[in-house]
Amino acid sequence: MELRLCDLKVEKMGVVKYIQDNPISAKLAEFGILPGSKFSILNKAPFYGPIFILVENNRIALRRKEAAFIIVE
Amino acid sequence: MSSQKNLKIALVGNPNLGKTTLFNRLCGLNQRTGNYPGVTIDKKKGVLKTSLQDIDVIDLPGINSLFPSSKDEELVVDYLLDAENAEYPDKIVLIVSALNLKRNLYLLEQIRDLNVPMVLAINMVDLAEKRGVFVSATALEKELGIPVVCISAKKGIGIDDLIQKCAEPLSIEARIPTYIQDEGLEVLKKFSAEKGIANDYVSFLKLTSKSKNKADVDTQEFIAKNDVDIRKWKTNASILRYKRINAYLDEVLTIDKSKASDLTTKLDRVLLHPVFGYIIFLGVLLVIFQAIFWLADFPMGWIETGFESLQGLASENLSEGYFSRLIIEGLIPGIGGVVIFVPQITILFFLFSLLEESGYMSRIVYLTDRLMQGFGMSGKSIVPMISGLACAVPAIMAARTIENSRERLITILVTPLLTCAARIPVYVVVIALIVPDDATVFGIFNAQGIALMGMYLIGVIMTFIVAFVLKYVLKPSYKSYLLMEVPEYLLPSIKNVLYRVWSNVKSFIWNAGKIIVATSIILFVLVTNGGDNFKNAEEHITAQYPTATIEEQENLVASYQTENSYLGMIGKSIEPVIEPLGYDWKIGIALISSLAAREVFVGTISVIYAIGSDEEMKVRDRLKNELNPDTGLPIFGIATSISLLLFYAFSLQCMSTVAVTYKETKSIKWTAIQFGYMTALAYFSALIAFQLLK
Repeated sequence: MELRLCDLKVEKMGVVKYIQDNPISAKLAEFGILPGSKFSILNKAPFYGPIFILVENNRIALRRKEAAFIIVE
Repeated sequence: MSSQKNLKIALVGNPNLGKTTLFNRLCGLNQRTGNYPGVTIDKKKGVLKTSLQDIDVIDLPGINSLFPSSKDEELVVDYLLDAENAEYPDKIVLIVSALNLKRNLYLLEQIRDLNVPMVLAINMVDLAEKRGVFVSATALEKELGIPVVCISAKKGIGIDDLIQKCAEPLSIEARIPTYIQDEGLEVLKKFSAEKGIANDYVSFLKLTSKSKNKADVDTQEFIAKNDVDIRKWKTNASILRYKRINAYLDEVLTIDKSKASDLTTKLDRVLLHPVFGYIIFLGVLLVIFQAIFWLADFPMGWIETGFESLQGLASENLSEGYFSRLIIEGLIPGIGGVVIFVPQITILFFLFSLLEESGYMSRIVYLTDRLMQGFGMSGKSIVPMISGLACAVPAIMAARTIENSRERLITILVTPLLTCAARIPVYVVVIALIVPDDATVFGIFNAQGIALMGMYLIGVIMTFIVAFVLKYVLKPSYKSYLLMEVPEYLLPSIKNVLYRVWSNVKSFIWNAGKIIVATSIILFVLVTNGGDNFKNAEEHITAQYPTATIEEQENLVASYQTENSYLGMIGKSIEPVIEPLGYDWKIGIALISSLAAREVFVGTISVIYAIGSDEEMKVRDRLKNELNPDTGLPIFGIATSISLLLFYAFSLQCMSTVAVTYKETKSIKWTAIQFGYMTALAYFSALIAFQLLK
C-alpha cells in the first residue's frame, strides 16, 4: 500500500513521491510540495487536527484531508 | 517627470516578512490608512520624502502567489493586473526574506513576468547571517536582471541604497516564458490575441482564474475548445518555476549548517504540545482578558473623572443659553462616552499586534483549526474572533484571509455576537444597578467583574451556537482546506506594534466619535424642542399643581417637557413594542438612538435623565433613583436590567458593522440576515428573561 503523508508519525522524515490529482494540487505545488521535496513532520494537532510539516526549510500547516493526497516514501 | 504626479511604488511580498516594518521605515508617520486597517488589510499609502522628490509608497497585504486563494489575495492580484488603473504603481519593490528565499523567489518569478519595473529587496540579512545563511545579491542580480538590495528593515540597514534604486529610472523587458511548455504557449498566445492582451503572463492568469472565468462566456468557450486543463496548467507552472529557482539557488545561497539555530522548532515543541500548547493558549487568552478589565480600569477612571470635572467647569464658566446647554448636556458627555473606550482598545490592539508580530498568531490558527471545523469555521476564524472582542469592524475585515467562502461567511455573520468594547459601558452601567459595588464571590472576586465575565461568556457561547446552526443551514460551496505557511518566531518590533496601535486607535476615535457627536447633537435638539404640549408645559403644570412649591413646579415642568418633546413622542410611539421587555419610553429613546452605535446608550440615558435635573449625578445614581410612576418601584429592577443586558448582548446596534458586512459580503441578503437574526435573538431573549423574572 502507498504511504500517505497523513499516516506518518511526528518527527518522521521523507521525500514526496507524487501528489494525487485533487482540487488543491495546484496550491500544494505552489507551497513547494512537489515530487522529490524533502520533508519532516514537526507536529500533529490532537483529535485529527492539522499537521505541521517542514518542507524544504519552510514550515507549512495543512489539514489531514489534504495530507492524504500526498504520497511519500 | 511632472512635479504634480509623484512616482508610485508598491511594496509586494509574502506575508510575515517585515513588509510593514519597511513601510514604516520608509514613510514614518507620513501614512494614511483605510478606515479600519486590520493588519495590512487595506492598501496603506504613505509618502517617502527624499531630497529630490516625494515618492508615493503603497503597502499591499502579503500574498503567497498570483493565483489568489483568499479574498485578501484576490484584491491584491486584481490591483497588480489592472495596469490601466490610475493608482497602478510605476515600480514594484518586491520584498523577500533571506531566511525563506526559495519560497519567496517563487512569488518573485511570478511578479517578474508582469513586466513592471522592479527592485528586489532581500530583508532580514542580518538575522540570516547570524544563522549561517548568506545571500549573494550580485549573483541574484546577474541571474534575474533586476536591481537587488540587501536590507534589514528592522535595523535600517541598506534602506538608503533601496531608496536610491527606487528613484533611478528603471526599465524591464519581457522575457521568454518559463512557466509554460511550448504546446501550452501556443494556446496561450492564441488567447492573448483573442483578448487583445499584450502580456502573455497576464493572459495566463486571466485564463486560469476560476473566479473571473465564471462570468466570462468567451473564456469558457475558449477553455472548452482548446481543452485547457486549468489545474494542470497551474500545477505545471509551479513545478517549472521551482525547477528554475533550484537551478540558480545554489549560486545565490550559501548555508553554513554549523551556525544554524533552531529556536523555532524548540519553541514549537512546547507551544504546539497537545496538552501544554492548549494550556498556554488559554493562559494567553486569560492575560488578554485581565489586561482589558483590570489594567484598563485605571485610565478609564481618570477619563471619567476628567470629563465630569470638565462638565462642571463648563457649566460654571459658560454663559447660560441654548448653545452652552448643548455643549454641557449633549456634547461633553457624548465625547466622554467614546474616549472612555480608548484604554481598552489600545490594550487589545497592543497585545494583538504582539501576537501577530511574534508569529504566535499562526500557531493559534493551527491549534484551534480542528475545534473551529466543528462549527463550520476555519482556524483562521480565530483571528477575527479575538479581534471581535475589541471591535467587530476590523474583525470582519480580517476574515478576508479565510480562503473558503462558507467559512468566511459564517465567521462574518457570527463575529458581531462577541462582546465588543462598545458593549462594555452599557454592561458596566446596567450591572452596577443590580450588583452592589462591594459584593464579592467567595470573598475574593469582585461580583461586578464576575457578572461582566458572564456577559462575555454569553457572547462567546451564542457565537458558537449560531455558527453551529449556520454550519447545517449553509451548504458547503466547495471543499474547504487549510494550507498555511507558518512563520518563524521573531521578536516583535516595538516600533511596528506602536505604529499599529496608533493607527487603529486613531481610526476608532475618529469613526466612533463622528457618530456619537452627531447623535448627541440630534438628541439634544429633539429633546429640547416639541409640539404645543411642550411649549405650554409651564401653564399646564401651574394649572394642574397650583399648590406645589416653585422648585417642585420646575421639576414637574422639566419632566413634562421631556415627555412631550419630539424625542419623547418617538419613545412613546414604540412603547407598545418594548413594554413586554420591561422598558419604558425613556429606555425606548435610548434604544433608538443607539441603533447607530450601541455605546450611545449611556450617553443618551445621561442626556435624557440630565435634562431637568440640576444636580450633577453619575448616570448610575440617576437611574437608581428613577421610579415607575404607576407602581412606585424602581424602573431598573432585576428583570428589566437583565432583559436590557441580553438585548444589548445580541442586538446588532452598530451601523459601522452593518456597513462593513455589506462591503465585505457584497450581499444585501446576508447583511439583512445578520441584522435580522441578531435583532430577533435580542428581542426574544430579552422578552423571555423579563417575563420569567418580573
